[in-house]
Amino acid sequence: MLKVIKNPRTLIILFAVIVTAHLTSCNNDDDTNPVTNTTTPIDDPVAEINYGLAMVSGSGNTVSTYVQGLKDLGATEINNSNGTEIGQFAAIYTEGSSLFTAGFGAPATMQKFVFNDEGVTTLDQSIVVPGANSFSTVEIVSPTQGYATVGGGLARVVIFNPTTMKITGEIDISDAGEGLFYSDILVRDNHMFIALNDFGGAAQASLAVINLSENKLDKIITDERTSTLFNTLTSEILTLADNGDIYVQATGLYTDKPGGILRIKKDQTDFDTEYFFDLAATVGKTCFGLYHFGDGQSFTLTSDDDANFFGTDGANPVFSYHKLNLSTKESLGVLSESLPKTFAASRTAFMMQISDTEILFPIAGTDLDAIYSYNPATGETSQKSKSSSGYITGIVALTKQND
Amino acid sequence: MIMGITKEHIILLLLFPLTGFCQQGKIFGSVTDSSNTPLAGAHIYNKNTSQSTISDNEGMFELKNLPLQPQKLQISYTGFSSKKVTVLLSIEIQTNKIRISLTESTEMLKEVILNSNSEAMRIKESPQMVSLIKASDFQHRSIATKDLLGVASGVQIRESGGIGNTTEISIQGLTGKQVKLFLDGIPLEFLFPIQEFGIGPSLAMLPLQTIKQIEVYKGTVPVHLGSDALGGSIHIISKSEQFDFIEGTQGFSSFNTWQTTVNGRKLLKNNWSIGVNGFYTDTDNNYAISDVQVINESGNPENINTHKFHDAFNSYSVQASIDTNDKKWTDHSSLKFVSAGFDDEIQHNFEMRQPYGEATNSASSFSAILDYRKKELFKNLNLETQWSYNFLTSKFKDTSLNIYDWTGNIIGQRISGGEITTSGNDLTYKANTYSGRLLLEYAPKENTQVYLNSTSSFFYRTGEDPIATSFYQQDFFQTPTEVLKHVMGLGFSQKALDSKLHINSSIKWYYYEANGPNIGNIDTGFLETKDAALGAGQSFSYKLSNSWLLKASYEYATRLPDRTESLGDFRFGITSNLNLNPERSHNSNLEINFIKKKWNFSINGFFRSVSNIIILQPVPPPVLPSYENLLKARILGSEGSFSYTPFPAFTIRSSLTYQQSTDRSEKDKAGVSSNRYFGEQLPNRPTLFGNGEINSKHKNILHKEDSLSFWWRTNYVKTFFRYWEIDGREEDKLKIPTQWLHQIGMSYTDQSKHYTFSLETHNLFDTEAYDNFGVQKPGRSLHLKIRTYFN
Repeated sequence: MLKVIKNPRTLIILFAVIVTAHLTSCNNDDDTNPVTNTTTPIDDPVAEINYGLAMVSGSGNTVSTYVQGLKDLGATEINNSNGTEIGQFAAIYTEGSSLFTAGFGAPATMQKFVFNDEGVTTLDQSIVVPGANSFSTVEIVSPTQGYATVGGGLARVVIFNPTTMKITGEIDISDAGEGLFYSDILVRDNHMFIALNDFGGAAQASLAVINLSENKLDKIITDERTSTLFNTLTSEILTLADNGDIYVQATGLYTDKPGGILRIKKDQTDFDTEYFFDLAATVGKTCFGLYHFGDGQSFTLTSDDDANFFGTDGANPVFSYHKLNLSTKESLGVLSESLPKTFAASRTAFMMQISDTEILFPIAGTDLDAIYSYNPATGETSQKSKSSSGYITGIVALTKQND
Repeated sequence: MIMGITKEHIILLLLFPLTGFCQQGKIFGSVTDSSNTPLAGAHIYNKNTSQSTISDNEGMFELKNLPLQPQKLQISYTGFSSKKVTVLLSIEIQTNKIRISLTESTEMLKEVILNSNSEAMRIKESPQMVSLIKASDFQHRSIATKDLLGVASGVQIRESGGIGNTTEISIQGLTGKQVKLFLDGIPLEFLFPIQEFGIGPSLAMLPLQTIKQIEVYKGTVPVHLGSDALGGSIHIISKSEQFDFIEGTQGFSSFNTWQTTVNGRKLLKNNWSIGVNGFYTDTDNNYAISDVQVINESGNPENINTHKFHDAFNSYSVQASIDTNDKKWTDHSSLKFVSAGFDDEIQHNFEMRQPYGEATNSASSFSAILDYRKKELFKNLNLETQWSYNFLTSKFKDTSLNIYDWTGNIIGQRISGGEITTSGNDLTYKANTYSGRLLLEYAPKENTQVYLNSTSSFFYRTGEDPIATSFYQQDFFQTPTEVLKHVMGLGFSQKALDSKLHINSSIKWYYYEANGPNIGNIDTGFLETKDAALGAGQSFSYKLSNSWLLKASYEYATRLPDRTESLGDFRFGITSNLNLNPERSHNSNLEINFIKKKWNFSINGFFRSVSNIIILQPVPPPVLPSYENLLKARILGSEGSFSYTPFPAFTIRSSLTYQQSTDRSEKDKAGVSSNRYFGEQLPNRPTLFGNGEINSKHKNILHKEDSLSFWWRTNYVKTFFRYWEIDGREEDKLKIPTQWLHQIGMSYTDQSKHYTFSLETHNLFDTEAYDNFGVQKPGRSLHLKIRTYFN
């Protein structure tokens, strides 16, 4: 069982998970809510909608996620005029032609949206986990199988059917420890790996390994070469390589340990003791997130000033997109020196490959909110779409099957 | 701490025997009509001293500090013939009680005069934009103190439920911490746990029965109210009757709500008196709520209608005071001891989505307040000073692993933490607040006054939490928090042009120093911060005629960051931010008042330019939020109030406020990348609201001298958006719907005036109502109240 961290110097962050939910939670439980709990019949559920997009709009303390469907990603300017107001900070996921949101706010609520003939986002059904303050991670692996973890003292993995939006089971992970934030989730073969964020208390990296044949917590694996699997709702720190290896990015925050990347080799469920990518020594900066798109295309974000890692100085974004080589454990430098700095931990960070020549990523800056494109073949970056309504927190590609 | 107070008390007690012999007299009594019905608002003018006063709701009045010689009084009341009387005062008769009976006049009276010297008229005529609410007009009703505040135009009260729930007050667009409350000149936060639990529970410990009047200052705040109010303040003035009386009320309302008050005063020899009052309220707050969600076995929400099951609230206060008046060494002095407290069950989270079944807040408070006032301390110099000590214990208990649904059933358990927080809490805070206020008024010549007001406070708090200690293996709350605050104001008042023109000028200085535990995303430790700021104001009033009064005011106001904003709050996971700047606001008002004998109205235009607004920055989990200076705003609006009394037994009153609060933020200061929101209406704020009332009073119903009153009251708030209007599809926008709530009531007072019975219903049409998104307020409720009064 993981040693639970008792250091108040760092564990106060745990309060944020719960209390921010308490302070910012918002949902639609009244007659004025335009999103109802009834299913809207849809003749052609995919219509012309091929992508789902989420952006956070608003100023001051009244901000919300807005989700909308897009025919394509070719527009040079995007806004939220067709966005549905979610009323909370939410990450998005997809299965088939549906868009799922996992919002932050008690009780933990996941919503499934479909698109009607006019391409308008319509709520289909919700899953709520009472007593939980938020969904913390979601992984949809098939039309009938999805996994999610929740925060707020409920140490469980919720198993759900994305098509029917029914909870079909749960996996008890209480032996992983108390007071943990579940940072990321990844399913490989018959195992599910859950990144455990203890906010540096144990000064080690920890993962829960679930045996999906038995839906049972198999073990906790730890590695003391780095620590603190810190992550937010929209970003990733667990990534699967083409060869089946899993890479795990740790920040080292709150501890003296260096930030770094660990590996779990294919068919293994333990950290590879032969592999450690010391990001602190190689990149020289605190990193946030890990994205891998095969063929040596791996990325993270680097912080120029850890004092503003959490974006408390709203006038000075500090993050840059950075390319890595996981095989050689090399830093390949920032994607482009001309790219604006972005707020990552406090706003948004994700990367998404939509074609062989395009990997999309958001910039949330002081002068610009935009989606940028990176061409792995040429190494060039370019602005793809500028947002006039807020920063982009997620893009998902919708498909026609299963609806 | 207790020892320090005891010493103060001992010193005070030692000082009392040094009191001198009173050489001034007092006249008090009552004004009634020919059927002995008390006349509230009768004007009593002393020709000898030019003093005047207004009779209260019971027709009672008093004039003090009078020379010991016969006094010529003129008593007048709208619709009645004036009466002149001479009242004897002498060495032998230092206090004289009289009873004046006026007869109704058949002649049309002249316009209501504006040149009265009464305290109420003095305040109304002052250059400040102020609304006066006489509590006595409402004390027969089943309403709470917070309800009374909404009577004033430009004031909006937003509640999150029934008695004791979260309450937010806004005055002409400025809201929350930007509005400061005072009790008899002392900032209310020095006496009640406002920073811990907000205004709602604190006001629930202030019974309406003990309040004389409420002054609502808009825009400019007078120098004598020493606090960093950004855009307005509310001054609650306690009753200070100087005659024997005893009063009791018992109320019973829907949702198993009981309210009891006892209030009395006994005059002693040599102008001493003692007073006591007590108050207790208890409610289940178990009103019906609709369309809340329970979760079925598949995890899907299903809407149900049910009742609140964990929202009970009780509060109490016990107050004892000893007062003296008209002494050589003081005009009025009092020593008051107040014990108050509340227990509050927490039913749900911020937007009423997650029910709780066991979490509670509670507080108990003990205060000792010394009030000393002396006119002509030296030549043309008046002194007023208050010193207070408050010991506050506040508790937050969140220890349950149980998960509740909206029906009150336990549907599961957590493995750790509480219903609200990750660690669970059994937190006890103990705080001591020492405060002092000194007000000097110097009148170097007639119509010229200089004011100096200084208010200082020192706050010291420690806490303990065995549950959190068990979780963290360290009691983080034990680290003391200290706050030192000074507010000093210098004011100048001048009347000119035959007293038609009244000018007030003021300059204020604010100082704040705080230290306490650092709560950070990465670093913790001990923090110290301090800040200082200056403000200034200028206001005018001009009597255009006996009926018209014009006012204009401007203040450059400041609100310093409070201890939660600068130091953070561990309980709520809010990080500290020592770089916060004070909130600033340019406040301008222009008001015209028109008063005739049967009707009056006022129209007030207001402008606010607010910068450095301190708000909690939204961040994605698990990043800790902190307070930031994120917005600038401009508020432009107007309010109007109207009153019509076609005959003495019938009155119509209404007020309406329209305000536009627009964003004026530079994008990089607002956490956005464009000027998209510049000029847009700030969300989650109403733009149009108002209230109206019809009141009718009839006499000789069952007996010759009894009376029966009816009233209908309505409150209106126009729909407004929860989030920014320009974001998202119009059809999908979350809105707070238009509310139009009505209440009706009636009361009967018997011929002896000793008993009053009232019956009223609130939210007459059982409208689903909420001020804050998703948080439902009570539906229709019935209220019964019995009042007994003897003097």
